[in-house]
Amino acid sequence: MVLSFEKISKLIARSLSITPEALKEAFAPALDADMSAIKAFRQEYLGRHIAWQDETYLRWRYDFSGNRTAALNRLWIIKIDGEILGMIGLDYAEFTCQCERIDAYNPLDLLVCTRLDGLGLGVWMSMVLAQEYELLFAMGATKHSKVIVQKLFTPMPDLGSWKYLLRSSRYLQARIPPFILPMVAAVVDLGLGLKRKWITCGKKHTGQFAPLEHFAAHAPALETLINSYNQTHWIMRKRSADFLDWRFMRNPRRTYQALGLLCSGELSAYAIYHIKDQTVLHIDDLFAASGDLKGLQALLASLLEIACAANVSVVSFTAHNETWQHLLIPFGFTFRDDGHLFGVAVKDHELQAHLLSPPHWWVTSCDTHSEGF
Amino acid sequence: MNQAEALTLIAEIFEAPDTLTPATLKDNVRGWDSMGVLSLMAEFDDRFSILLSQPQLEQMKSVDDILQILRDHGHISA
Repeated sequence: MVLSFEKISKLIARSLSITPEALKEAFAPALDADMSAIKAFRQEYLGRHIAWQDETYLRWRYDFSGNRTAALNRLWIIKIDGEILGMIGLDYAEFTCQCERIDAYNPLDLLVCTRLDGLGLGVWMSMVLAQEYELLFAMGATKHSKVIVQKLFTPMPDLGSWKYLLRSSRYLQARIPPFILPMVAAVVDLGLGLKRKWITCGKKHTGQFAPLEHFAAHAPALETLINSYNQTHWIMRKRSADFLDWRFMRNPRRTYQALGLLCSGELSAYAIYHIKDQTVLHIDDLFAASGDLKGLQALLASLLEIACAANVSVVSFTAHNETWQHLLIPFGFTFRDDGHLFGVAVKDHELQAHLLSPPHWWVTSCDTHSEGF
Repeated sequence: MNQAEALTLIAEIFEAPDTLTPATLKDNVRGWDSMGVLSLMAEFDDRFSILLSQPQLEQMKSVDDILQILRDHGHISA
């Protein structure tokens, strides 16, 4: 059953005993004056899950100045009679595709008050935003956000997790008797180590690897890297130094590490990663100039060495299957559909066909709200 | 309509396989999500002029709770 936006607005408004016009007016980007109420709302509905300085996070993520014209991250709230009933964030992303700039937004931080949970307010808020902006792309990881991606967006099925096994004992634990686990794990790990050496030995690079504290010093090189994709079909977020420094190096929710591949002192590729629970090294972003497969291979080989030294069991990477399989399968990574959904909503019909093609998207954890609730 | 026809209608609204019984719980109906609730509200409004309220929607835990609303409004014959 396909419901129009007008019909849904009418139904939601009626269930709140207001008019559809009043409902529309009640939904707007949050202002500085709303901060206390927003924090209280999030505390009430996220409760013990909030293990960070929430105001620091909110101010880092969103603009509360009330500027409606600039392309900024905003937290939209629905407020009726002074009470916040729900909220949804919008993360601005400047995408590029064949030299075209595409302003896109990624909905995140969706919350609806308990008494309205599951009654369609989240759907309605998403529909308003899809009408407001040219291109929305969304990741569905929770029950509610998956419903929204499935029903309101065009789902693209092959975003998932690439995994590389370094140590087997955690994996084998549930599968073999405990008394033989250490011996079997040792043999399997030896095999994995030999395979890794064999795969990575031909992937050495003449450049130098160095940890990066920030990207500002590499801004021109980064621009050259992103510009190398100008004539390609990739739809990707423009990775400026300002964006990477904000997204990763000044992130109040998580500490990220950046690894640069430098050729004659110039940045030619980089990886951003973090270590989860001392067991997983997750690659959040991996980037090199267009066609520089050797740069990506060298970075991957270096990340596997870092993961080994950190004693983690698994290296993971969130990305589309078709985009990355030529690089990752020869390394020994395997693809797993982890149930996360990626979908897009496009207003421009001319662009639609291209934007709805999954193999064209270059999506990594750089584009997701991977810190999560 | 009779109960069997009402069950078919509910299955259509939730885009669920036609295997619903009055005892089927909300959690076991795949399409009984926020979008499904909106479809239910729209269908009841358009077809039966029943305005489902927020408390009524909150209290629905099984297919029989939906049937009961139809019975209360005289839309299901014995």
